[in-house]
Amino acid sequence: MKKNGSFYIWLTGCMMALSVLLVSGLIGLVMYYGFATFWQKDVALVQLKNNSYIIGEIKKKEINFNNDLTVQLKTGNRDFYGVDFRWIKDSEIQSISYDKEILHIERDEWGSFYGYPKSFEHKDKKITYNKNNKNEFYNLINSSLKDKSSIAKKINVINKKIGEINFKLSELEKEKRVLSRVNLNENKITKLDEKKLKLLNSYKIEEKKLFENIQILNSTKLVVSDIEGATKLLTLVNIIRFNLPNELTLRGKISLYLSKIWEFLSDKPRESNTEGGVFPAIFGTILMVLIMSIAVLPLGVIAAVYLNEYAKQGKTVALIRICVNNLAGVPSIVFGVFGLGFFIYGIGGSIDTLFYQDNLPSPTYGTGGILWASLTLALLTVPVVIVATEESLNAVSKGIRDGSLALGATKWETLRNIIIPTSLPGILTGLILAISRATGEVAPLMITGVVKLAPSMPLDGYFPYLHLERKFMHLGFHIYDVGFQSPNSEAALPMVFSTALLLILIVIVLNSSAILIRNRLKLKHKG
Amino acid sequence: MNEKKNLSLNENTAFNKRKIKDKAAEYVFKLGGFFIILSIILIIFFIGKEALPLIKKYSLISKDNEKIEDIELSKTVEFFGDEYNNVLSIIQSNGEIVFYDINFKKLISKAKLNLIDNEEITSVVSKENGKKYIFGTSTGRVFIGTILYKTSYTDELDRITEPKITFSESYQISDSPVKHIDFISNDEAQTFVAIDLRKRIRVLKIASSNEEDELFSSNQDENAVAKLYDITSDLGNSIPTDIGIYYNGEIIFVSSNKGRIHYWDIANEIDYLDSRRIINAPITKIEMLNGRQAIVAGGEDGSLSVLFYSQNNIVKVRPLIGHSNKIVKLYKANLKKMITSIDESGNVLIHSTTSSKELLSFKINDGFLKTAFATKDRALLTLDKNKINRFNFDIKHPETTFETIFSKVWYEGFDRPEYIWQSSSGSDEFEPKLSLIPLIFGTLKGAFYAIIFAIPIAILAAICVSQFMHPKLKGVIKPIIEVMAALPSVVLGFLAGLWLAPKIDKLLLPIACFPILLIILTIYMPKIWERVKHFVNFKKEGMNYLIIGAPLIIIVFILSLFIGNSLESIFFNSDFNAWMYESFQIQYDQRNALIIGIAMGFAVIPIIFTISEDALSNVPEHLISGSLALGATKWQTALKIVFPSASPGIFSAVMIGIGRAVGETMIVLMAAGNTPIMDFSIFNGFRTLSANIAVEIPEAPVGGTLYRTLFLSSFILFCFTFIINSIAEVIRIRLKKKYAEL
Repeated sequence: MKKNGSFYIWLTGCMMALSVLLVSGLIGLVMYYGFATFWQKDVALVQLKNNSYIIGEIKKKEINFNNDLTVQLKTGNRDFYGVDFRWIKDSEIQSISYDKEILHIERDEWGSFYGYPKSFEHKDKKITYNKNNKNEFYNLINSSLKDKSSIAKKINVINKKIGEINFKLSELEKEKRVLSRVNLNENKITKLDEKKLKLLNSYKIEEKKLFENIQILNSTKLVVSDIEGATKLLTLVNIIRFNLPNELTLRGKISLYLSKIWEFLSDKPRESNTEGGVFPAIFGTILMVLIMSIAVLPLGVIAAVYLNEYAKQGKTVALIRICVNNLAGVPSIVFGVFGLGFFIYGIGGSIDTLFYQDNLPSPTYGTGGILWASLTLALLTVPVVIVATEESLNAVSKGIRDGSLALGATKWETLRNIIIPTSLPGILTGLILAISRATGEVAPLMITGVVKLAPSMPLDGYFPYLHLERKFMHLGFHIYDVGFQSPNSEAALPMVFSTALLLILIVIVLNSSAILIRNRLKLKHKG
Repeated sequence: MNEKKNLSLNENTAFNKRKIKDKAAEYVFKLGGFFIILSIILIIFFIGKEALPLIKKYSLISKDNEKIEDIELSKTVEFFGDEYNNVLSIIQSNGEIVFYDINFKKLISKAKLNLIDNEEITSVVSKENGKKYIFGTSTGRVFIGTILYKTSYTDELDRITEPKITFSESYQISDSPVKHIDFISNDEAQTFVAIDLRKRIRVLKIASSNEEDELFSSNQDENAVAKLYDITSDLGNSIPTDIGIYYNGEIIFVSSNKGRIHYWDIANEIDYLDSRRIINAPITKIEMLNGRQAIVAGGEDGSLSVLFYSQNNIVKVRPLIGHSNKIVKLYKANLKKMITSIDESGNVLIHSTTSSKELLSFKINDGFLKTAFATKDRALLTLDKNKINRFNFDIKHPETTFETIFSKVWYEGFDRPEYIWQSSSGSDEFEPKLSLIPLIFGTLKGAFYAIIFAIPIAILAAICVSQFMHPKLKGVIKPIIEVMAALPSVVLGFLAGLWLAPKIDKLLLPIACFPILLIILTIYMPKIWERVKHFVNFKKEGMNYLIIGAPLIIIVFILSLFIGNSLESIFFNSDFNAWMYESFQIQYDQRNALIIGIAMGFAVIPIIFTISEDALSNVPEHLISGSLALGATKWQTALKIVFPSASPGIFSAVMIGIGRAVGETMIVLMAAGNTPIMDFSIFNGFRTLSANIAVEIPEAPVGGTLYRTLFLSSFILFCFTFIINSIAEVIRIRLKKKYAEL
């Protein structure tokens, strides 16, 4: 046995199997929890031995420190009970049933509601719920929810107008400040004041419209009660979505599931990021990565071409190459610290004193923002691009180069027409790897401009459209923030898993495509 | 002909154009490339530069003086500056307070104290950052002056300061002139301590009447209890030289001409506690540092000592070296832990009291009458017969030296020198404790456990994949393990902190059982395989590990959960963690080094795996074939031929793994608990350099000591990882060459 080492070989084999299990286990875990977030479970009506009832989704069963089997229920109704979850001893449970009447409402605050409907009032119509008019009752709510979405559209339009007015007002203020400092003439200032008055008037009109619309939403009232009979009045504004979880068919559940995934991908977060979607975070991540790519690609390619084609190959270049290589291994937080000190306080501070004097002491570029975060990440990932580009430049065979030169092409022409086009896939691989690394990086972003909730996107409809100084949201930071800074971390956990899943999927897709391109490239060169 | 000529001319210009383009491209690439690489490498210099002021030497920024003509300065008792050093309050012995603006060279106003006939001011001290002056008079009275600076701005944005002073009622503390005085007020009492001309020590306590009393008694002023004590007799035949009061107002210190400090407990009545010899010469001055927790004593021999009061005892913590003449004046700094000392011959030294480092030394002109220290620690003022001299300095980082960052320091309120990281607190009186040692310790601890977890799995898996696996299968397995490297660390950190940590908290024993059972399994694996292999047929080598091994590992895992749980309920009363604590005092933190070992191990495994796998599979084929042809088994070949020749590569893989583990931020931030303690126990949390930066830098004021210390820690991180990676890289390049030569 010692000679053929079968034990040792099996040891290596088991470790290999273990690492494969670890990877797949981890990804499986995130997938399981991540995808489970959006699935509507049946809602249990639990009768306790002391004859009281509890409504809630059964989350898990565990043996607690007293060695009792306990059941965790998501009872929702945070406004009534203060918490979303409740642990009950299994021994206290008399029976569990699934009442079809149970109503589940997703609300804009206080989390989910589980309970029973009482009455509904919409446009002078009022229905009190009983089992016979169930269909009519819910149809009415459905139709009013449809109304809500059309009203919401109107409100959106109005909000946009208000936003425009606000923007113009702030521009006017700026102009006025400049004018009053220069002290040119009173006439202009009075003109500005007139303009401002006009704007304020139209603001008032829009505001009135807004209130009218909100009034309509508020006039529709749904009264519900929890299992203990405590009633709650909900207006249309409060209701995001409702369903009868125990009556849903499989098809209904699937369509609900898909619509929730869509909401996750396309909507803004709600309830301090623990509900709703992550669209701003996705958007922020993509925009940051784009700006980073714009910065990193030319930097990396020029440096690589210099190192590989123009620099004299010798000890110095070898040393530089090692340094560049090692830079990829320098902790990302160090780049973050550099970004903070150099970009934000150094360059940003100077930009502020030169161009944004009016806003000081509140900083414009002298604080974290998407530009600085992107540039920091560009520095962080430039070694990746340099290494990959050099590799692929190297792979261009000498024959091709010499052939081109022999035909009379200059070095630049050879480079432009032969070498760079052939090594393009390699450069692309490097870029993809850089993007993948940047997507997952959080530590340097935390200190250069990521926030938990950005009030406005870095790209919008107001001049100059791309606001490089704005702070932004990021998927990775979203995970950290919701998971570790949220006051209600248990309720936030599903959201964190979903975000983690999304991030992992993006990164894996990016990486696999890089690997695929690289493998193709290798094959091509071998061929 | 002509046409041809034209053509060649055209060709020529075209050729020239091409040549110019070529040259231009060359310059662009050379210049651009050079600068890009230079600027990348300059990062390190920038970070280092930001950290450098921490250990900078300080010098006087400027010196200026102003003639003052219209005020008689020779009768000055003391004078003080406001926080900007613009307005001086000059207190004359006849009870006049002159407010003088140095910038505008003009007298702002005068205030007159209510003195009895022939009474003179004999001593004044400034307390509470210059907001209160405590006066002692020749008739033995004491009273408090509260000063308020009203600041406004002119149209030209010049600052106008208008001082206003109000006086408290006076208390009789002695019957002879008051020479030294100290004062403290807190919720319970106002306490004056004074030494008079006849060297008697007097303590006056005025109990504050709280609100409840006010409700019941109509005229509370009469109810305020003032108690006067004389404690001179406790001193024996020594003569008191100076006094100080502890921060809580319960201990007073008196220095004597015999080099001793005597101390009393004055919490209720007055109890003499003890005395302690400090130096062999008379103590001339003592000064409570800001926060009143530490004392600095200056002697006639020019010695300075930092003293702490702890556990009813005065301990001499460290000497401050520099003077050779009698100390005549000591000034505490108001915002930092610094002491300014002036000796007889006009030498001024500023020391840090945290590190005993001499920060600044200069000489003031001879013949100075009085000196004053600015409230914001930025200047020393001296008063001559007819002019005021201002010595400006700006000591930004007094609390750091190489020693305070890297060795044990005895801080205020501690019993012994310790390594401590505690960067900030709400008040100016807090002594920042910026030792990087606990953080470096945490960093290495985390990296150590991660590497311990990762090395066996990664290297063994690499051996398997490179030596005992069909190339096609290898093409699938390798990318799968490499996907791990791409997993964002924030995801690993979140899983470790929120999912794994609570799970392991409950399942510690079962998890501990798993590796043992796993080894037992691998021992029996060959035998199991012998039985099974006749029933299955895997075409590709290595498939059996996955198909047979993986399910068995899962079974073993479930088994270990079961065994661990039963062990726990049989032997440890169902709570292994509690048992550990009761039996061995081992505290189990939910977020600890074990969790980090596993989570960061995850991040490190693919790195070590990939690099060692590359090294292993690049071992030249003819070596392996040779060994096999000589009759060695595959395992013997792997162990004796492949592994030794690839071992430098594996070593460099481990180095790079360590580099990654050292710099990892998010995982430790989320799952290590972030307590900067120095305990190597696997069940305790820790704080790493990187997590510390992430936690503290958003709150660190730009240019402050903390900010620069954080830059220093990133500098250390940078250098550490850079060196480790360089070594690894060099080893790898050498290995490549060696393979090429073989």
